[in-house]
Amino acid sequence: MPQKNTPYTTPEGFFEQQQKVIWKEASSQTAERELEDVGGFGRYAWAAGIAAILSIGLLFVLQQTPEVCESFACLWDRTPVQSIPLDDDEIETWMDDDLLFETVLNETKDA
Amino acid sequence: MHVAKPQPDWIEDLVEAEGLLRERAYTTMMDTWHVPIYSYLRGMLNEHDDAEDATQETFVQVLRSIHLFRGESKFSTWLYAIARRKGLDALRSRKQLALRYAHPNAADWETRLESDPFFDGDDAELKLHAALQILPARQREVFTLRYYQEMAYADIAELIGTSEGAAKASYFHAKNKVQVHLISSTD
Repeated sequence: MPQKNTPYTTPEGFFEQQQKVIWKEASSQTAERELEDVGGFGRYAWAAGIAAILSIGLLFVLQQTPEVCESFACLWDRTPVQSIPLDDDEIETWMDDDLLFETVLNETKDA
Repeated sequence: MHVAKPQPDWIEDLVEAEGLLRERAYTTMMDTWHVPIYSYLRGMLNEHDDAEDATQETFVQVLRSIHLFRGESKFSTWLYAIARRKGLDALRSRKQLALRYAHPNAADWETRLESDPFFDGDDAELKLHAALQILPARQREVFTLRYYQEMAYADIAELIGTSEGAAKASYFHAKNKVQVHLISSTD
């Protein structure tokens, strides 16, 4: 596809490096999927392992007593990266209307 | 009834082949699409780090899902649809929220771009990109796809799920707003 040059630049060797990283990551995920396809005992071993991890995780979560946030900074720090409370339909609306985004910003700020 | 569209030769190798042949197909795909997809996401997100992450997630997703690609749309439309999804997810991130909040007008964006080590535009490009950042997100996206990626209106419409007329209208409004900003900023 043709495209105009943009003034954006990247670190030297960025594209070559990222190309290798993507290939490696996608290949490792493919290998993981192949392992998941193992039949018989292998399948049950994976299921048992996952169940054990989930049980330990649940026990850990139940034992934690979360501190209550009393400041915006605390809430901000705890907010996960994918955090803006917009569902897919809302973000499509926001794409047309920045006022909605400003509303979300203000709500977040006031929280 | 869906009609299969002509697709690049390397797709079959990317789906069916193994080893060196598949890796070669991957390299061909990246030679063609890596820079355009990064540029598209960089225009959408402004930040190199965010564009880097979204680009990586896009192509990992492509490699994982290529066997599901049925050829009913152009490969480029399918690829951009994945990139767009990753870009929208990034737009919802806390970092992007803070970035938009901290830069409500074009002058703030100019200052930011001036200090961005990965922005190498002249004064006109600086003003253009600052003006783009304060457009509604849809208009910014359509402007980027049309002006920089030189994508056909029909393809833009298919990608963002609207009509060709609406895509043209978005581009027209974006262009007008940018022109008004550029003229007023040179007065």
